[in-house]
Amino acid sequence: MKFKIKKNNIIDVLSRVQGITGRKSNLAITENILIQTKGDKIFIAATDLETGFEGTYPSKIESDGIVTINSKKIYEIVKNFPSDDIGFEEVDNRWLKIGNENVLFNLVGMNPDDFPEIPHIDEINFLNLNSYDFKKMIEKTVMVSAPTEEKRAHILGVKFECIEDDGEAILRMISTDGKRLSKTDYFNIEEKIEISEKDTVIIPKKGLNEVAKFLNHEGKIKVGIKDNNFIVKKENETIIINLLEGEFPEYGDIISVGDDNVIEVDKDSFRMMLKRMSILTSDEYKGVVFKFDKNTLVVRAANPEIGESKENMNIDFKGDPIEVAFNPQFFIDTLSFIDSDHVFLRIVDDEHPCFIQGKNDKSFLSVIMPMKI
Amino acid sequence: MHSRWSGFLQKKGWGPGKVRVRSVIHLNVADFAVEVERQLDCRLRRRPVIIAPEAAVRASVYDMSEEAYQEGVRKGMPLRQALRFCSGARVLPPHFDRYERAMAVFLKRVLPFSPVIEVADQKGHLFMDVTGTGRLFGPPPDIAWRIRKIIRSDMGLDPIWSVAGNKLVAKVATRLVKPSGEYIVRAGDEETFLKPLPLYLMPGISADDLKQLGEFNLSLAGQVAELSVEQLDLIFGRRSLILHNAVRGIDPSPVEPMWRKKPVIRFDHEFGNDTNKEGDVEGALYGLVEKAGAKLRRQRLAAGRFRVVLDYSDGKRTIRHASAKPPAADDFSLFAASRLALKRAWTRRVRIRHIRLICDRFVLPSAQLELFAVSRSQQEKKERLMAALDTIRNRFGSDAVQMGRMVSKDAA
Repeated sequence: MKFKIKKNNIIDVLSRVQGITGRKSNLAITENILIQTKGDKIFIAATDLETGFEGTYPSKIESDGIVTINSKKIYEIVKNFPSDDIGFEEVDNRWLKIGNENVLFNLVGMNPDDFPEIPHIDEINFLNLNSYDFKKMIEKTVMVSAPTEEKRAHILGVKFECIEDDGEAILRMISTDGKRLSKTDYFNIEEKIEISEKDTVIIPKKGLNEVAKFLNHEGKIKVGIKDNNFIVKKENETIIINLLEGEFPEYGDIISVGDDNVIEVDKDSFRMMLKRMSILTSDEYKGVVFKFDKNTLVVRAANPEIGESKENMNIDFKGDPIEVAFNPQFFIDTLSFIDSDHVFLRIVDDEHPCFIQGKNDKSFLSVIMPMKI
Repeated sequence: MHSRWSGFLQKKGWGPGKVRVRSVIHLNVADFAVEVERQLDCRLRRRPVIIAPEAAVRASVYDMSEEAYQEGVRKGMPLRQALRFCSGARVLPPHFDRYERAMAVFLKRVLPFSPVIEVADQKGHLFMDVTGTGRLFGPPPDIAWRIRKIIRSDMGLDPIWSVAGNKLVAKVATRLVKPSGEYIVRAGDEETFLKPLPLYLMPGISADDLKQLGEFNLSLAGQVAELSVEQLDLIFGRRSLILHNAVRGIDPSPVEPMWRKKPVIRFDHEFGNDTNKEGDVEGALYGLVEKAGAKLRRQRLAAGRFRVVLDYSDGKRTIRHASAKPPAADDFSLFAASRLALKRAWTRRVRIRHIRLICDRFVLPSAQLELFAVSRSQQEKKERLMAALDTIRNRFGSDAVQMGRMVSKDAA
């Protein structure tokens, strides 16, 4: 195998696959990427056995071949390479020469036959989505992250479903960590796709994080589900994620907005207030107390080991006083993903969740459970 | 008036520009483990004794008597080699529980003399800060002498003592007079005292440091004290300041009182017959978990880390830990984490004599409510069950209600 490639054609993809190849798995070869020549392009594949990536990139091919090479090392070499054109040549015993007449690296590869097979997906019923919107959906759901020791599928993954509401097909993603829930909708999809027999699947958050790295701010992408795989396809790149086995708890009752107080607040002022209040929180004392009373919101934080803080905010509230404690970090996380300048807080009492929604953004809803006072 | 007061304060060491001189007593029972064994078996006196897990493969020396030390036996030395040096030595397995009990009694006798006592280890070392206790108990040497007298009469042990201005110098002083005696280093005499002493007596100077200093033919504290920090920096880098201070007897580290240490909950179980049956060991562990859980719930705390200490029949000890995430106080979560720690610690087929559970990293129980009704009801169910068990046990005793795993198969 011998080819030459422009540094700019390969550096981005090598950087983005580090998240996949950097993960520990039972196979040492998953730390490698597979490079294969195909016509006038090279084909690059990476996998961590849960998430697989494939992409093709233009290059000047002199002879065909296939190699697997350490992903981190090849990325560092390409990143620091002094000139734009980089030559790759396979020599005996799976060694790969990388460089030009001035700079030369010899890297030892592994047997390409040992590289795990990435499922080959034929044409399926794909759904066309705007790349930027889908990236935003992923970011809004994976922000509700799962602790490393967590084993439950509905915490480790994001529920992906296609539903119909008033005759309109909606693509919905829901994520939870058991204490809060994030729901984001994609309206105006062309048609409802058949996701699976159950019409709902759970996609690992880890895999979605990798997908987000590959999504651009412009253009279209295709998403689809086949057997046990979630597929995201771009023009020259495909990511395939193994779905999680498990049930997602019924969330319909949780997100149904009932007879509660709706309070409009300025997003930035509210977020900054919570940031100030969270200065005194710690792992042991995470909660701050919100008191809604006669057009005023008073937020108090008390940490016996550090001290106390209090801040008032004028709001439009005429209901009975409500005193409820929340983890302010959950609000801060949510507010940073809302595009509107003003947000609606819907609050019931100290035992029911608080709903947060952007004034001009009905596609994203965050549900946060309170803490015991 | 002013002059009378200033004269009085100066006399007491509180005058303007003066700092009260620190007085640190270091008490050290030499060969602590051997001395404890000798209290229990007088036949061991005046003969070489080695404490080591005899049956263990590649056993190493845990402690040895002065007689064995004189024959060349050292701590950490392989037992076979130690027996070649001292073939007549009596080898005993370590009994950590005995040493800990003896240490607790030792501490109890010392506590009335100062609130600032640091238990350096469980091998007979104590530091006491007696600064400012003169009007109560007299000068520091008197305190040390009285403590020694009490320990001798109550426990039969003979601690070495030293008085100095800081922990480092006090420790060197006791090392100097080992195996018995006392030493007083007056304030300001630290550097002069250390000057002729070999470097291996200095705490904080590692074996690697000694090796490197040896290459420069430096073996005495006074020789190193002649070098500046910049000169030491060329060889030792970041450790140069530590060395520079150590050889001059400078040690600003305070005596850390016990109450400043993070709290722990600790429970022990001694098996009547040593066992390696999984059911028996897990049953015993569950009993410890129940006690620890009840104490945590009484204090309205949750523990984040669980350590299991196993003492085997041959005297070998293993300690492993596991974390509970999130921190918990219910018996089920506690047992899950403790059992993980037990699995990590239980790596040998030798029978177990003693098991200990230590819980620490306490936090207040999580106040965060669960979003899903299923998880919420499970949590509430667990809390109600724990509360009911606690109520029954508080009223009718801890054996009133037991888990199945606690009932031995023989009894069933």
